[in-house]
Amino acid sequence: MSLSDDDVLVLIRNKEMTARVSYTIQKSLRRLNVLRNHMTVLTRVCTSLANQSHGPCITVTPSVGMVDEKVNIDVRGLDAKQIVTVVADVEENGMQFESRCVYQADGNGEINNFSNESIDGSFKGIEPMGLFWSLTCLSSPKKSARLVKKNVCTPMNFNIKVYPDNQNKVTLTQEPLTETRVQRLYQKPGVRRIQLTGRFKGAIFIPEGEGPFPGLIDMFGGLVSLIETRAALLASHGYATLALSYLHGEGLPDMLYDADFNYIKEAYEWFIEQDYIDKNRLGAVGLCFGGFMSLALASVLPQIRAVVNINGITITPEENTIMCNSADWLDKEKVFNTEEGVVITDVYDCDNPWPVPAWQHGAKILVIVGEDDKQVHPKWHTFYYESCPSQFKANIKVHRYPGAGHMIEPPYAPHTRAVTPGRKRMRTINFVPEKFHDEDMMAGGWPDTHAHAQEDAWMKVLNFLEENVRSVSQ
Amino acid sequence: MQGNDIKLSYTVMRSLRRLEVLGNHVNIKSRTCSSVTPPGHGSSITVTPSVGMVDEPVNIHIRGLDAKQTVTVVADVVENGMRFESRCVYQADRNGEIDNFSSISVDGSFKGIEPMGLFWSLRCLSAPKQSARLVKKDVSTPMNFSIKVYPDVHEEHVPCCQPIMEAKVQRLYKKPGVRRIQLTGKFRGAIFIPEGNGPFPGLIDMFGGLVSIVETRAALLASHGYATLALSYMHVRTIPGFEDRPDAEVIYMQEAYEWFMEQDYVDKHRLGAVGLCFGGLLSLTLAYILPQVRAVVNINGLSVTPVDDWFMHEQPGWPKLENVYLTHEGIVVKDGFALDDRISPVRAWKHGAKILVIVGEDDKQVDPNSHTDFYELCPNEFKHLIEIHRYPGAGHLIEPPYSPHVRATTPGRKRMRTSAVVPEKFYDEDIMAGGWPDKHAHAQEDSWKKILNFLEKNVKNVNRR
Repeated sequence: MSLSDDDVLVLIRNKEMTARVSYTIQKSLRRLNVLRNHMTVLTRVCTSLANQSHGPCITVTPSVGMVDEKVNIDVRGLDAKQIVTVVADVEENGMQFESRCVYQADGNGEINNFSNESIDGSFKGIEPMGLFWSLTCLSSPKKSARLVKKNVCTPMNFNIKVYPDNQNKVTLTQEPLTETRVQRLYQKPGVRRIQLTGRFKGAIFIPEGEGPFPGLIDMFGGLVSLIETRAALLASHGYATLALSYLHGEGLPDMLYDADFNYIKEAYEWFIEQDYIDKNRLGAVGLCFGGFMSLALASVLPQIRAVVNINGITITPEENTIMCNSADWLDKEKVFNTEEGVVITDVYDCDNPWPVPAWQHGAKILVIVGEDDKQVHPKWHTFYYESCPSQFKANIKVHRYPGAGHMIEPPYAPHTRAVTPGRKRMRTINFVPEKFHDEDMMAGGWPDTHAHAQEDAWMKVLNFLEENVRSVSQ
Repeated sequence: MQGNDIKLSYTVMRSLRRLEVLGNHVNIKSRTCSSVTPPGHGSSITVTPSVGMVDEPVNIHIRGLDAKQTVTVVADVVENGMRFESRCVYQADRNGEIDNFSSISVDGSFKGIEPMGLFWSLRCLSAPKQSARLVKKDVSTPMNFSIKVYPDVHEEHVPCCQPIMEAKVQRLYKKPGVRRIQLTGKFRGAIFIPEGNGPFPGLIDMFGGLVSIVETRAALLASHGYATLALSYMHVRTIPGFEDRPDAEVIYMQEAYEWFMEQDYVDKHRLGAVGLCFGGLLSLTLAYILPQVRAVVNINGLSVTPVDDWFMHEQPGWPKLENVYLTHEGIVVKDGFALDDRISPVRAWKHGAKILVIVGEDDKQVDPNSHTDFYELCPNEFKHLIEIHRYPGAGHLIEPPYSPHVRATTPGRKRMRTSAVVPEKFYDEDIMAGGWPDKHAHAQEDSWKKILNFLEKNVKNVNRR
């Protein structure tokens, strides 16, 4: 800050200045001072190890933290205006994921992920968490491998390295100028995970402490067996959460059309009887088919206070029927292939769509919509809202995210525009014609808009659950 | 006004441009530091990170208050059956917001702008003299803090309303992935091994003579990448053969260290030693005995003795117990170590080890001047190995950052007796450590950085220069 107060004082003493102008300057100076203090303390917050001596040094804070919280990346000790490439990498499930960005240091040789613009790399512009959400798989040929942590009890270990110059498209051969590691947790220490081994498959996450806790069921879509990431996070936010697997497991059906709503309902009814569950504070959360099932649960179980549907289909072709085997529905002819993968948005079209009345027992409903969803057409959420009887409309909130795709996951999860289910899994989606079984399936969305959607949607989901499940008895 | 017009408007424009840039920074900072914000209604407190390492700061952000509203923020934690609490009084800004990095505490257990004040000003509510030390016994589990906000100035011990909002924060000593191995044989204590395959640079970490074992610093050092042996030596004189030897602690420590460095996860070329108080004296001695020790950190430990090779000889009449005196805050023991005739430094520089000395200038147990003697008595050709950092207003127990400060501790009869530095008449008294809360807190924060940088340079990266 080289604006000298003396400069302005000299001007202020000049009698020809009007009182109004000097007031403006003083106000600006006061504001500058306040903001300067904020900046100073921001610098203090975000620097843990300040290596005062020599050479470039990177510090990431917090060095261990929850995956849905941001990190601050500070690089100092560079030359003024020096160009560097920052590379993040992580290994998961035997696959290497990497992201890169190119920053230019400021006049003090410093870089900060919150204020610097990336001028090249896997993301551009000012994107504080860009290195995390722009990770892509190096090994997989089509870069459509999804970064999903299988074991949510252990940390995800990221390396963040700084290399000189713009090495965005180059194979990195030299030592980095500086590097550090960051650990990100899905499960807060103290949260307990219980593997389910009986009839119901999946895992239960119980927050730290005595309970009873507000209870949630959390379900993902029809292409996966079980993903526990969101459930672990929800438990870390204080909800006892049942991450239920309903397909592709031992004793579970493989074909999507065999997914059993009664199994899901019975699992939920068993879960809410556990002594760590507060039966007055219950909810359901789901993505894709899991969202659909969550709406269905709320329509038959009055105890469910709130439902979150993320990009899940909201209708069936037959009135009052949740599980349908209608031959007309989910028409194979409606699936088409593109160069990015197959698109299945149109399979749900039918003559008399029936909205699953999740509202009928008074549940609050939050709908999260990715407007570039290539699996469930966004129009179904508009239809759903419009079909809702007027006395319940106040209970539904729909949040639409332009440029976001199907898989809206917890924040900073990397985005992929398509997934590669593989022949075996694709076959279980009965409405995908056999000729497409080796194709990718599109999810849609664009990396940055999808990332912003995940961040905002998660806040909306947590606030919604806080208000309508956790705090509901009050 | 003509000539000034241009200059004025340029200045104003420049100010406005800067305001904009800084405004963006602050906005982004607000984005950084808020995780869950209920839209519109109600007030909320967010603490980020919600789980993080104890040596990293947290951001406490409160919003949704009335403009200029006064609130009391109370932090509390339970450890070892004791409740510790701290409080501060903030006034919200015009937007009804409070931030621990910019708001001034006008009352409470700390005052002024102290971002981590709620952590380092925690005091024990149950103990009569508030001299109970907050030391985590089990470093493998998180420390769970509760942060509550009450309206107005909320006095201690006055039953009051419900908090208007609250949050919980978890603080970790041990990064997930760091492994802890309990030692059960002749050597007592624990080993902390960083995540990964190793081999890792190795450290021994020791506390003072009044405690059995404190693992907090060792767990943190392992979280920073060092395989660390947290060695307990209090029981040494009960080991057969060690009872009466003047060098019992040193021989025991040497054997433990030599065993430790042979482990396959320890890199024998990158070794160091860290110690507080008597542990500091032992660390210096280790560097004197073993050439493999590359660097040693002495925090407020004795570094000068009446004779060379202090551990080899009984030293009758030293420390001079008659010099220990009682004050209203507790006994002061540092004068017991006064040296009249001969002053012999522990020659930790003998094999070329780098030496970092951390000094609390209000230390009541080890005379801060003894470190000056240590430096002056070092031969000129070795002086460059020593780095001393003095902290005015800091006391004896300089621990990892944000640990609460106490001006005295209550060891109890048994520990006072085994310490051998206190006359019997004072066995039931408190023992002063010294230091003033805020200065001590700042010293802990700064010295930890110095220690980590020193170890990084002289142990972790030592082969790469």
